[in-house]
Amino acid sequence: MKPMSPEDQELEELRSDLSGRYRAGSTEEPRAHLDAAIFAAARREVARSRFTRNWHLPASIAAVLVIGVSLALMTSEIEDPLPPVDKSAGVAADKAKQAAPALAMKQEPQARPAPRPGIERESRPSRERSEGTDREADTRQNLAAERADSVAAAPSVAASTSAPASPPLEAAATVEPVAEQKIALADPAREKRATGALRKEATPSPAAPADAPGEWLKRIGDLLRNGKTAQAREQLAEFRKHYPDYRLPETLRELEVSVKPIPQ
Amino acid sequence: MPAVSRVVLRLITLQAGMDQPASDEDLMLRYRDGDVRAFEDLYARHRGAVFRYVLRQVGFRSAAEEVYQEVWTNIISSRARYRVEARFATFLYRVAHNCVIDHFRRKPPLQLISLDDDAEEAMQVAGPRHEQPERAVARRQTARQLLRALALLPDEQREAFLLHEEGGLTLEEIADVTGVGRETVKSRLRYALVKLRQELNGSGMSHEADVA
Repeated sequence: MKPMSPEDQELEELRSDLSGRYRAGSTEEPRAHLDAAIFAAARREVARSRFTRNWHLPASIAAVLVIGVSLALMTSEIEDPLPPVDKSAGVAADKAKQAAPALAMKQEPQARPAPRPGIERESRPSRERSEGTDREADTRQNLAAERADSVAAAPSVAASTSAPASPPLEAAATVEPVAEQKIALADPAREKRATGALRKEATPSPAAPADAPGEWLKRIGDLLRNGKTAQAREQLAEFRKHYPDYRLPETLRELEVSVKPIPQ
Repeated sequence: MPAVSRVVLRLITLQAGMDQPASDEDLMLRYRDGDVRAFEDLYARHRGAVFRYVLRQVGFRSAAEEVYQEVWTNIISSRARYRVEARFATFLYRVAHNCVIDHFRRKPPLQLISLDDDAEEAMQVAGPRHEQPERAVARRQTARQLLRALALLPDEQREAFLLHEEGGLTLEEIADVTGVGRETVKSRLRYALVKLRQELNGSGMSHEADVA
């Protein structure tokens, strides 16, 4: 304990002498009504703060719920415009790609209505190389188209009903001959026509059949083999209306000669 | 076995803790957390001293009651913000000091001693019932003399004396409440004690000595 200085000791002596006398005469107390008023105020304060505390929690929960529901609604409104994913179409496209992996690489620029110049420049040498072997390419494409059509025929029909824009594009992209584009790119006028044709294929007319071109041509080939030449010719003419620039297989080219060309 | 002994020791410790009265700070913290009973205990401890402090400063009972109620209302309303930074008594008397200052700002003191009934009531001095009548009269007279002398002290000296006597505050705590240095408080308290003693020696104490 800190020792007291002489000054503090003197002060303490003075204080102790007077303190007892002061305390003996100092007995005033507040009145009872004052005590009651103060106790009432103390209780009111506690009750008020309890109410405040109880009011905060429900209000916070309500605010969180309102914000959460609002965000959920806003999110769902943003997501609504997107079409639902058609699994069958996706599966068909995958199968088609698996069936013709070599073609899948070339399909990508075809699927776009207006290919970018950079991509064109990159793909041009390969196209020039393949020009020399045009015939071989035709054969390969037809085979691949037949294979892809056989795999994706049924799903593509289903997809065309559920998602109108995408299935014909998929099917067309699978079997579109690359050489056709090569010619179109070499000649600007033809390029324009080819682009128009691509657009046409991408968005077929309402009268277009649900079948893919490969399937259609296969049917025409069947008719020809069964000796139904007239019917096959009619079908081919109808085919040409829908796909004017589509390269036909060798077997159907002879038949096409007899079909009157359709004015562009 | 060690676990049992630990439990027994814990129970003994708890019992010992329960026997000790809760400190003012604990009571105020309990009141802050919603325990009204704790406030009632705390109020009972300080009601008389705070009332006398205010009464001696203000001089009139009616005004003192008004200020006294204001002091406790401030304590109640500051309940949610209360933190133990010092003794509760320091906090309480700081509030009381501020309320007295506010009172004098509203109603400047015209005179320190009033001779009306209200002031006389404030000076009423009670004594033990078993005391002999002559001795009781002498004690009452001495106390009244002391209170009159206290009322005549300068405000700062009277406040230092009251905070020391009624509030039980140390010199440092008085310095904290009044906003001055410790040495200033010590000086004020010394002057107050010397004057009071002189006043009593001059009249009251000699009168008591005569009666005794």
